Amino acid sequence: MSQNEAVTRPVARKDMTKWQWTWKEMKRNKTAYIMVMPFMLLFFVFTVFPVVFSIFLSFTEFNLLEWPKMVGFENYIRLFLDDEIFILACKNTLIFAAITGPVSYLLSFLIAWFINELPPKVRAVVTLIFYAPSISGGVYMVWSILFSSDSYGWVNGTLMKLGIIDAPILWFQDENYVMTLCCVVALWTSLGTAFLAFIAGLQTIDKSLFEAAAVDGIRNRWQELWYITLPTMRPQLMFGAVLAITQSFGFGGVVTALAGMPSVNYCAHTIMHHLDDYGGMRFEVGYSSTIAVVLFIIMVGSNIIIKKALSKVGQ
Amino acid sequence: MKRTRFIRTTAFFLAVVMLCGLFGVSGSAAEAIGNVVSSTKEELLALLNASSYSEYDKKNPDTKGVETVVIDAKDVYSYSDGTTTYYYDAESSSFYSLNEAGEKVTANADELAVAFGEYGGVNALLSPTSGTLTWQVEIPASGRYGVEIVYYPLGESSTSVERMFYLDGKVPFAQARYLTLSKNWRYEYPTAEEGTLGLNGAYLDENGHVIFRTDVNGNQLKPTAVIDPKWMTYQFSDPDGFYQGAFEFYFDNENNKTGGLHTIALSSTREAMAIQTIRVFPVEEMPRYADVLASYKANGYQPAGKDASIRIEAEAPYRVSDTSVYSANDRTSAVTSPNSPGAQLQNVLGSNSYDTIGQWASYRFTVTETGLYTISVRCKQDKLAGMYTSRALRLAGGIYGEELSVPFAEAYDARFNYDKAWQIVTLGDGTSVFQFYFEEGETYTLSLDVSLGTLSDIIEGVERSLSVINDCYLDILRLTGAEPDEYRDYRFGRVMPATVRNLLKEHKNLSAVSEQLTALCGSKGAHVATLDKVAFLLDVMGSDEDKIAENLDDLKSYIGTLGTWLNTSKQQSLMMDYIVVSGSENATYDVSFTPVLDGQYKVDANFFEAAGFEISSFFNSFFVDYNQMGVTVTEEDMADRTRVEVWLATGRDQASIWRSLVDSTFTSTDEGAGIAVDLKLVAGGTLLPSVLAKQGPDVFVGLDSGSVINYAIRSAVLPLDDHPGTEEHKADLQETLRDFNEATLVPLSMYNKIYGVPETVSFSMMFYRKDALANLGLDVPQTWDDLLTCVPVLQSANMEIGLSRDFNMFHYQRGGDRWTYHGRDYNGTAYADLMEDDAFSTYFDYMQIAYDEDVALDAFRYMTRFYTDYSFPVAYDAANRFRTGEMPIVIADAVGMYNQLTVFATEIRGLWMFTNIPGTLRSDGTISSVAIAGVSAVVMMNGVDDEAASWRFMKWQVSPDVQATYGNGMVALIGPSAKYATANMKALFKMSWTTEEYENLYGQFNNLATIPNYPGAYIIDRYLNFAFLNSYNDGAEPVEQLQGYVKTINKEITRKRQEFELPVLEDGATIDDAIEQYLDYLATLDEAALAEFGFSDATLSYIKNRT
Repeated sequence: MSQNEAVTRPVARKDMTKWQWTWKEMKRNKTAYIMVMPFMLLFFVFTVFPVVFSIFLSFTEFNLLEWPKMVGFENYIRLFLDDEIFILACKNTLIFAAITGPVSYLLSFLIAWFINELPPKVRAVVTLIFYAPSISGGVYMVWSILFSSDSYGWVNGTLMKLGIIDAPILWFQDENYVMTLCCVVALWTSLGTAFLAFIAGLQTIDKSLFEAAAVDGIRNRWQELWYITLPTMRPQLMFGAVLAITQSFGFGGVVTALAGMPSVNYCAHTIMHHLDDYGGMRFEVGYSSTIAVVLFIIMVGSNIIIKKALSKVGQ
Repeated sequence: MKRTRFIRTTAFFLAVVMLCGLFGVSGSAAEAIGNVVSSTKEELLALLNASSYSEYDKKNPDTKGVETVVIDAKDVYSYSDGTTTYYYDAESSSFYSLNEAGEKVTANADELAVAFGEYGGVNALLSPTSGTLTWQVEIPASGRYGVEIVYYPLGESSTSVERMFYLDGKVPFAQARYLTLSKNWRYEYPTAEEGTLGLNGAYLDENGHVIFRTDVNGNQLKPTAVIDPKWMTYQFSDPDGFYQGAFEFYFDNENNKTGGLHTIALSSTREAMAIQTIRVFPVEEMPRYADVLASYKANGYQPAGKDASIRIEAEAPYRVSDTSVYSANDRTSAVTSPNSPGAQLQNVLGSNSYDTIGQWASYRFTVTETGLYTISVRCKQDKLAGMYTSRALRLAGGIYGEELSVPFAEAYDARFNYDKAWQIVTLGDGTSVFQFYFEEGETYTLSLDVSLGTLSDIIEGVERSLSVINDCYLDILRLTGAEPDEYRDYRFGRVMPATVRNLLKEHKNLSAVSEQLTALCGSKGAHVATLDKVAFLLDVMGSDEDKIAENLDDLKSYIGTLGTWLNTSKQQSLMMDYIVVSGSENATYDVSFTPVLDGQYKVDANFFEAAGFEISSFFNSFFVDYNQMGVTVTEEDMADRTRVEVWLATGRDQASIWRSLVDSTFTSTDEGAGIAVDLKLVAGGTLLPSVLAKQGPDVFVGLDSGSVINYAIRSAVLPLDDHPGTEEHKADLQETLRDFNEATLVPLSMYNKIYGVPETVSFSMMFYRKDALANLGLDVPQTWDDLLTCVPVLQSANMEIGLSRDFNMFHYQRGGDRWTYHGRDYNGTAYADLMEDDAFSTYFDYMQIAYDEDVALDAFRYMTRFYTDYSFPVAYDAANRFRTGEMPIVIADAVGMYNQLTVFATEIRGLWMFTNIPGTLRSDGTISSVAIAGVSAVVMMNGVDDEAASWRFMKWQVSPDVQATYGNGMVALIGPSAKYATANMKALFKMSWTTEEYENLYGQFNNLATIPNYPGAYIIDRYLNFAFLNSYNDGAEPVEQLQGYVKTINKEITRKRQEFELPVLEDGATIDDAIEQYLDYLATLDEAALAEFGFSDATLSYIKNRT
């Protein structure tokens, strides 16, 4: 009798431990788990594992070829207390991030907003024009031709012809210009995926919302933008922001290609460069993992801040 | 009135003063340069300005020579080796020189380069690779004579023999400077059991196709070329192909001091040869084809029957002029014979490189019926768009005589018109096809020589225009500089009227050439458009001098375009499938006769054949292992051999040469017995990941010295002293390393162990434009101070010097060293005895850098001044500016720049040379012109399976013969721009450099320094660069800058050395402190670990007693 009772009573959460319950739920949803497995496997192997491994390596001394040696917090101590160049790199990275991140973010949005007003066919063409620099890979090399150090470089040649300078300037090897030029190039290439996401976002907005808002007393385009457009496309804004941050912190390849590695007097040396310097050139992977971990923390941190800031949009 | 006079007087006075000043200045400038001027400059100018043959030809009276004079080469008058002249005494058959007192001194025959000997069964005179041989010849009457020599080429390199010809002590015209005598090569075909032996020395299968050697998958391999020296006849003629037929030299008895007795001399430029006779003969007029036809008719020759046609496969020539005429595989047509959709068969000749004037390929054949024949070629000419390429036809055998000769004038210009598709061309000159008389039973030889045909006039015209335009450009450049101000009136018309006139003249010349070309080709193609464009610009610039400045930039780029135009037009490329010698029933004695070719000779496949072939090829491509291409040893054969895995980080062409070299001279010989080489072409940068994954190779070829040490210190590369480490091997290693400059071993060694064998070496040399320097009256600078005296002269002509920034060069030339405590005397220290042990003291080398020493600071300041005070450009395109003449002196990587200029700046061929870099004057008056070398090496990786086998491969790979064969193979395959920078001194000698090039190169090769790469070395160049840029950009004091970084650099080196547990010298510590510290560290090690250091017993016991 009691047995029957047990069968009829539905299984309740409180009957079992947490693990048993989880296991049971998993068995019940096994199709879903099987479906998600390929991605999760790849995700763990290629994304989560390297991050974890890198954190482990940051506590070791590792030259790639020989077995790592545990050194505790020595790398961190050295990084923060005995590495002037790292501090310089942090400064440069923050400058890059502060200039290229928000500026390019705003620029992307504004341009997307303006373009959205254009007739569809014109819009397609203009979108392509703005997006082109970031799809064509090494196109920023144009800048190295423009600002070539040779006296036949375009800018040098023109300036010399106009009599403004009389000897060629080594644009990308002169501390006075490198940072500015790199920022300009960064902005130019940054109208990338975020910009496309914004355009897509702007088009998903339900037109009836504007009409309803007009009835509710919205008076101008700015109010429209703040109260309707932006809140409606918050997911795209978030996406764009995350991209802008990772991009501005991870900004290194362009500088290397233009100003060399390392740039003169480390004037455009970012954390990415510092990481590369130790990992690639000096075979000190332990130390470069430490740098990577710090960079990782900075990125995650600024992501949280941005998320907070975006939640204020439209309020 | 008074006032005016006063002004006039003052003005006159001022003018006089200024004029004097001007002369004064220029006088002193000339003086300053005067002391470096040598007599060779006049010679050089004379040579550069030597007239071309056409001017020489026009100048001479039209008197034909009377009779042939034959000189036995053994009756040589004198031999000069550049310093001493040796006269030949026929009685004692020995050479003697004259000493200062005028007495005869008999020369020791063993020490002379010149000699008599038996060559190819004939007693003859040896003409060595350098020096000048002179003969005297009695000419009965003044007149035009041709010169012919019978020679026997010596030496096995793929370059032709080159000689300079002097008549009565002078080079009569420009082309006589580089007379080119071809060698004679044959291909070695395998002996087949079945099949018949063909006339070309190859076995043929039942279809008449040559049996080639095949790889494991049935792909046919290119046969090996073997030099086949024989006595050959050469009529002095144009090496550029502009003039057809023999050169006519004018022997002038009237204006000659010795009357009818003339001297003729041959000066060696490249390669040695033996000379049998020299013949001076009156040049006979070539018969015309119409006359030949008439003679056929008169002799009653009948056309051969239609069935008498024979086919000769072009891919297997009888002999060739050089190794770059070789067979290849063509898959563009299904009917190319033979062809297979699955395997790569050798089926055509000359797809890439049968295009340079002077190359030839000859074929042998017999005919089955006596009569008149035509010769047709199935070929493809798809390179020279809108134009045609030419071949000169030479024949030998039967009525054509024993020596190959051109039968009639028109045969110099057999044309092959442009067509993207295959075509069958019957040899003719565009208006008529040629018929030849062949007799049954005779063996004939037919040779197709690359020639310029009627295009020669056009190309020569453009070439002459180009050199004039180039001079005009340089003239203008000297006045305006590279960036002229277009708003300024330079008054070109007054300053350089001749230049402006020349621009207009060349406009007319080029327009005329363009019209001529249009008429020849029948249409205006892209080729003609280029000429028109340049002509138009010249017209604009020449007729309105205000336009000169603004168009100067365009003119510069057009000069380059014109150079490229010439380059492509001279390349007479042709791909041949087979040659048909066919009789024809409808033949007439008329020049307008057109033959009808047998139906079996198809121009191209029809649609179904082509489709079948393509589809079959497509499916076959799934079954072909491209990695196995060219491998001749089957897997089964390999099974019981030791495998050595070798990685190459080079190009595909390079790898294929290595593969065939490994097959032909390593695995199949004793050297590689029992070894199977697994050769893999990898991308650069693959080594690190593969070593990490323990999937690395046994041997890696081409690792730069920096990486060698980087890997070695982390024990990824093995020291060759201990691996394999047998006694026999150690002797072997010493023997192998003897072929290399010791300096190149330094960056591969660390702590008394060597980690690689040098493969290539790169270093800077000075390239200079002979013409520009001669025009400005400058001599080639020997020292940096000489170079600086050239600067004002060059700069006043708006020219610059290209100096690649290399601080080490200046530093080492002053006797400096990058490191302190390197090779230092330790007598002052408390541990002097201990430091006697090299194995111990070597760990105290390279602890700090020596950039705070005076010599380094001085060198750094000196180097920086070039850029700051003398405004040398920091960034520039060396090859381009050197080509245009803006930068007549460039210091750049020797082989790289040489290769670039050879292929890219053909219009300045012969106008430039390279020599050792300028040096620094030492205190004892000698000059140190050390250059800094970069080395790449062959290394043995940790994890190697069989050390002994790998070492045998490495030893073979860097041996002089193999390196030379590889280098020459590259040149043969890719062309003269593929010179290989071998590190092996003996191999360098065997490569195809001219004697002058070789001597210059070898001079610098023996004068190298290298910088050892020790832990932390990467930081040094970085801060050197910063120090320089700070001084250059912001005008900071260079010495302070460099000094300021010394501490930072030392800190990093110390840190890096600590990582590897090497002794360090901390800030403020003495060497004794460092030694003590290191001893403390050593004391912590156990015995086994200590044993690995290789210390002496005394040192070991000291360490033990210390604890």
